[in-house]
Amino acid sequence: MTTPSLKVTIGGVEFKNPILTASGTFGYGEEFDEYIDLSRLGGIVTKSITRHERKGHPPPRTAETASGMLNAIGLANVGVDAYVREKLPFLRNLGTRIVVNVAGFDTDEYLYVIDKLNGHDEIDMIELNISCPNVKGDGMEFSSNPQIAYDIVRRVKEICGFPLMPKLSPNVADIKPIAKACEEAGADALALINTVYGMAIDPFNWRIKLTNITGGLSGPAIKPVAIAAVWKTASVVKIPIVGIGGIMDYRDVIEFLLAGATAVQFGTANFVQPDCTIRAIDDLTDYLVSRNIQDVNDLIGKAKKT
Amino acid sequence: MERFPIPGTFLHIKPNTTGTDPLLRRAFSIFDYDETSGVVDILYKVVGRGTEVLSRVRPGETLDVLGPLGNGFDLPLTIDHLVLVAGGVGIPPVYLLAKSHLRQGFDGNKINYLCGLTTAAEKPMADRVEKLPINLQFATDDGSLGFKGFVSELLRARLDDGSLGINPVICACGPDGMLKAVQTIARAYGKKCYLSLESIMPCGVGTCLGCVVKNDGEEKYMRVCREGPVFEASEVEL
Repeated sequence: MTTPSLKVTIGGVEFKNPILTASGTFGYGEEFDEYIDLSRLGGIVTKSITRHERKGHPPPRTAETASGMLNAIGLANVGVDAYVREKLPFLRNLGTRIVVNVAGFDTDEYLYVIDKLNGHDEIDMIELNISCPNVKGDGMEFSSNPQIAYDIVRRVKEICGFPLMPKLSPNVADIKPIAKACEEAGADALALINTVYGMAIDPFNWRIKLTNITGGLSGPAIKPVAIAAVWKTASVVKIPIVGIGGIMDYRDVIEFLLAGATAVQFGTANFVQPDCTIRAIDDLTDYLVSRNIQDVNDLIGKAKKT
Repeated sequence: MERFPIPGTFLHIKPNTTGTDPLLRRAFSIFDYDETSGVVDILYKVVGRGTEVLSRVRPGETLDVLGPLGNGFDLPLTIDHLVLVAGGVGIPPVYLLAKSHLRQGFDGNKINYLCGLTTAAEKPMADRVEKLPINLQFATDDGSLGFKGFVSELLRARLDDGSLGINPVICACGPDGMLKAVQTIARAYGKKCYLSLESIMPCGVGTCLGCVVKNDGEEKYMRVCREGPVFEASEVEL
């Protein structure tokens, strides 16, 4: 039998396989260069960048929990100017797709950062982190309200020279109206989910484990939350979904595709096993061969009700 | 491992062979290295879920180990006197540093190892240190072995009585409180000092930005796993 096709298309961009790395877990790509062959990845999503450099929250910034971890890094990043100057050159000609995650605390910041990225042809797509607190509003996340999400995506889409993929928060009563609002505002794809609100306290010294009090939960603990979010979102939007949340191996990849995702991002797993993505690509290929499935797209949305 | 590791570098070990709890690797400073067999040792105390699971691993089982990682001690053999200060499970990196220097011909008479323990019952942790041809002194909280008091106080006493040479370089590893005391003493006496820091390290390779420590003077953070774990005492704010 011929080698199955792993190619997927998202927002008009073809990815050689559906396995990407999640923002904030893969640095700017260069950190993993000595561990894996980056050209084998479907794509790299780089760490959130903002208008100015951000140093991040005081430590402790992370705490391990049952099959997961909490983080409150605080969007530490080099800022868009240094990103373009120092980080983008490495990402050029890597042989994989480059998705740049952009964060902001008001609309102007998103527009400023996108404007600085426009024209840099090593970038294939923008992932819009709209899970940051809206400092000009009431501190609520942009992606927690359909109207706010619509407005920000609409404004960014007007000036963005790349396909645009908002990344949605799971910390909402219903993700469907927010996903629909993003689609109507012109989003080319959706990435979900971002981390789940969480907190941990040491029972012996009574201290809250993170300096920031609360943080974002990631890892296998949140996978069922993410699967449900992808399933629900897939039922209301036509644009492709990139699934994120606790993916550790090829079995998790398949689960997300069956739920309706076109591609996935590996996050926390990169911390545990630097070559988790490469293993998953190989194992996914073997799985398709063993099932006589010619095209990975044949898995998308094929979950059966029991 | 194939060659003698740089003292102060660490191994990132997955405590369990299967499953996701605990999920993350744990960082352990390299304790010892046998050049004939290539075997590496670590020294740890069971303090939480990760070390508890690790302690149940039996001989013959295979562990997933990443490393050696990080920046260790980078000390020339031309230094005048080497003063090693260890607190409890902080013994390994400075033990390996002594061993590494001895192996390269550094005079053991010019190495002082100040070993801080809670009580004499912990002495087996320092068995290997005792076998090195260096000057070893103990400090215990309860005075059951050697100097009574913190090992940092022992360091101060020895600096005061001049028994640590004219121009010693101090290298320390241990609990945060101890490192802070050593840092303060080194600054007060104007001695060059290096600290090997401990931190929760989710990734160990510089990506997650979880293990940071504040840079002294500058408003920026440094990654313990990548820029450290060994820092010059003057560059970190503890």
